[in-house]
Amino acid sequence: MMLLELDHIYKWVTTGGRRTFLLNDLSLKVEEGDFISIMGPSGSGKSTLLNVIGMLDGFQEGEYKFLDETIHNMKEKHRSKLYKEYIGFVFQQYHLIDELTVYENIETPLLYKSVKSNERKALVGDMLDRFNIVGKKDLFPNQLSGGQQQLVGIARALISKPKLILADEPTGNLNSKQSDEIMQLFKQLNEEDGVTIIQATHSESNAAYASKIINLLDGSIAKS
Amino acid sequence: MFKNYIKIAWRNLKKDKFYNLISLLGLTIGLTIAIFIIIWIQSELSYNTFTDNHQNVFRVSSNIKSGGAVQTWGESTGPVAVYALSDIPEVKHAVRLRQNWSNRLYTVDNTDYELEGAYVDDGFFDLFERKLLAGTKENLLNDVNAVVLTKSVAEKLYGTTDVVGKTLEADHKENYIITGVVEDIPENSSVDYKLFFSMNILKAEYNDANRYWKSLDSDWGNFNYITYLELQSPEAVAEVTQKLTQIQQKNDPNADLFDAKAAYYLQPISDMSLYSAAGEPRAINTVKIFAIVLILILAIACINYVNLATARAFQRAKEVSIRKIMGAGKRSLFGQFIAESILFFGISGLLAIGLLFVLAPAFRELSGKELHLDLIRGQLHLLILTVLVITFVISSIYPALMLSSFKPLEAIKGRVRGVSRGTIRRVLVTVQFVFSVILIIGTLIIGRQLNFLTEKNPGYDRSQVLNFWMSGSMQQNAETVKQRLKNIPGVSQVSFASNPIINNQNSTGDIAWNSEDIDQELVITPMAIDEHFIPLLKMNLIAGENFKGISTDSTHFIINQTAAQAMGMTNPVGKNLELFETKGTIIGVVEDYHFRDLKSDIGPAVMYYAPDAYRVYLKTSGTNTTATIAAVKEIWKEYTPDFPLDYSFLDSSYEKMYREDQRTGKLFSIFSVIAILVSCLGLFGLTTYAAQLKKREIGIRKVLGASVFQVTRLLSKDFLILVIVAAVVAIPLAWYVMQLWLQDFVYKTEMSWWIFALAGGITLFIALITVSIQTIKAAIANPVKSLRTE
Repeated sequence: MMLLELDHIYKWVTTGGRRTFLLNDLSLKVEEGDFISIMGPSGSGKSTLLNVIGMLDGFQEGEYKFLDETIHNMKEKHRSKLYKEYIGFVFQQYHLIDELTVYENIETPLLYKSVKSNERKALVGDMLDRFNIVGKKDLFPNQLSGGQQQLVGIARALISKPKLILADEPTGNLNSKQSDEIMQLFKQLNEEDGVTIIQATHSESNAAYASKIINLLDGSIAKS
Repeated sequence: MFKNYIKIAWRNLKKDKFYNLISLLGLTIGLTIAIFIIIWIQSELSYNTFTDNHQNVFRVSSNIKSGGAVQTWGESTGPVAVYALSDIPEVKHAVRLRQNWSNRLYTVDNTDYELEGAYVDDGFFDLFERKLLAGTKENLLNDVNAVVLTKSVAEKLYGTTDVVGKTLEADHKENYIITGVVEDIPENSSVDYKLFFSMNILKAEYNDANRYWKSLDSDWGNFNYITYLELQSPEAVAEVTQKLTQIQQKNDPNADLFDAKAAYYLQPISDMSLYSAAGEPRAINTVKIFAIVLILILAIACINYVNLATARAFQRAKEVSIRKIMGAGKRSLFGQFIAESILFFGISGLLAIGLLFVLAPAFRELSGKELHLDLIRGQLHLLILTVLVITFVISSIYPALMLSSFKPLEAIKGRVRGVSRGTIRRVLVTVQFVFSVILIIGTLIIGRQLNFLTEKNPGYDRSQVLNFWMSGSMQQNAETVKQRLKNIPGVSQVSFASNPIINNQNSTGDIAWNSEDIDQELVITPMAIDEHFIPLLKMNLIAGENFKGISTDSTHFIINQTAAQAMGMTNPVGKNLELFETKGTIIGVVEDYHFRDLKSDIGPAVMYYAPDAYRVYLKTSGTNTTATIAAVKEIWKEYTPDFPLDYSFLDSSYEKMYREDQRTGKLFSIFSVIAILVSCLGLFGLTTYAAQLKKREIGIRKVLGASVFQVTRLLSKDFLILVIVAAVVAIPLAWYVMQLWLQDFVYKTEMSWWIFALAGGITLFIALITVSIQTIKAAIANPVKSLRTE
């Protein structure tokens, strides 16, 4: 089943009267259950593409359909409802909230979905169990290693049961062992839970975990 | 959700201690001062409002013609209340009050108490609704021996309120029988007396058949009474005033003494302390100014909070973005920041109230008032809560809106719009300093005016002059007493006069002179003096001569310049004058001198001769004052064993007259110090953040060879320009407000340009120091460190 479809997307910024294209006539179809790695040099538009897919950023031309709904002329409110429901984000810098404990960081998305307190407890508990971080639930992010922080970041992304996880260089700040663990986890999520994953990465070995690799160059998909 | 908000808010509070301390300090100081001013204003405005009917109660002021103008007195004559009650249906109650000047000392079980009492009409406690706690209402003050006590006095004197029938000794010679005990009357009231005597005592003084006036109720000449009327409704004022005027014009044998258009002015009793007897603004101006100060201080505190909260937005931007990406809506983020503000204001409010109690003694001292800090009482807590809530709403909405509206992608990358430029914040800082400069200018001008008051030559020399009232037995031996006082080593001159020179409230229209314009009425201030008075006080005789102390002096008068002018005399010496039905001649003219405070004009004054008036003036040498006072006490005691000597020095009485103004000045200076302090706290916080934001820029500039001074200037310039703009804006505003305050004074200092320049300079200087602390620190930091963290 089709999850999302980008059709001839153009995105540019104008500097000094000249357009610089960030995404240039980019088309992409993602099926539910896909695991896609986006590769490409710095500045090729990997992050921009992920942000557009995640609806955090707009674009100037083209069409974007998510679960058969047209995104680009949707109202902000409706759009944010959509991504809250279906999309989870994982960042290179983890972006945990420093003032919150591990438990609270994972719980945050549920608060915004108005999930009841008991249910929240159960869901967060499950997640802690599953990621083997029960013992760390009362620690603050700065008390964790990078790998552990990223685990929490992924747990937080998963807690609201998204259909799609967007990961922007999820292992960019991790060593190779931690990096492998995270990739294993992604693979497992993809295969066992059927979560669609799109990750941007520099690393060939990480990219290889995916079932499909897309190479970006200057905002377009390079012919491979 | 809310619990979660508070939890995070609390962690944020603990995390950024520096920022939060500055912010909390500013807000708490601001709130404390604000609550104090509210209590103070409320106490000023609640004067005479202790009864439910106070809106219907009026004091009758008399409009007396004087030299073409009208003088308004707060006192009135005896018949006013009588006629008001019998002839005017709109009047519900009418009572008169006269302070009891004759008794001072009251004795119970051999203990003396000094208490203030007043003679009042029956029905006084119906008009000023006071519950009778003991005794019967019927015939409460009918008997000339009757006395009614307030509850706290009964308890103080007898230890109980069960005192009806007991005897109260007055001045060791008279006995009164207690007929009742009433509820206490609050201090801020015009009828705050402890003892109430029967008006019949004063009525009995009219039993002499030879008196011109046959009874107190028909005596139109004695302006010794304060008349209070309770009307059916406040709307009846005009009607009642008109009827009272008609009654006066019809029945008063000297009807033309009064303004025939409106013989009386009915003043709401709650206005009595704030407006003059004629209804002109007096203390209300101070209240208004402090209301302005209240708003300024609150605004400064709010701005501080807003500025620091938004300046820190940079730090919060990342969290906000993550939350948004996690699915937080604008509304829930707004809620979160509002919750943080609630916590912050809650803490600050509690601290402020705590601080208020800690500082209560200081505040009492400052305001000279018994400030009631039981915040639950009356509507005070509602008022304070309202102010807190308004302050909260004003200062928390903008930061919450700003923080919750970041675009997540930009914020997460550290590109937060408005944070580095911060136009609104610059405007707010400017506003803050506008207020500070206004307060500083106010302080300077008030200080100068107060200086002016104490240093202005009043037209006499008030240094080292001891004065007191003689007792009756002393006055009977005036000649001997004068001689004995003169023999005291520390005394160089002795004089007797009829009034205190500092504040002579006497006035009379009983004066006539050879004028073509016979109709002219003139109210003058009379004073009996002896031949030593003018030399003792070094008053300046500009024409004619002084009294000589011989018998012909009894038909001689000395007038002041204003009187000469008012009577149209260019060369008064030798002219005829008639005062109190004594015909005589003017022998001298003294230079105008201030016999009232500098808020009043110098009026016409006439001095006549009396060698044995009651007020004693002693010029002392100034050395060994204690021995001099002891010697005076010795003589006093011989004649008056029962009373202590109540003396004062002209100097200190003069200062006492301006005590309220001195207080205003002191309060004002404290408030402005606090205002500038709080503003600087904000400025300090802002520069700290600016320095943090520009860390990298500073590092690069230093690597490129910028000196510490250049970097400091770069960082300070922006803020100092704001302060200069603030000073320019503040000056006209301050000028306007201070002119309002100075209006109160007839004699006043001028507002010279240098005051404004000085205020601007002071502010700039303080701001410069504040800013420099941070900027210099940033400028001397090792650039390698700041660049490495990038």
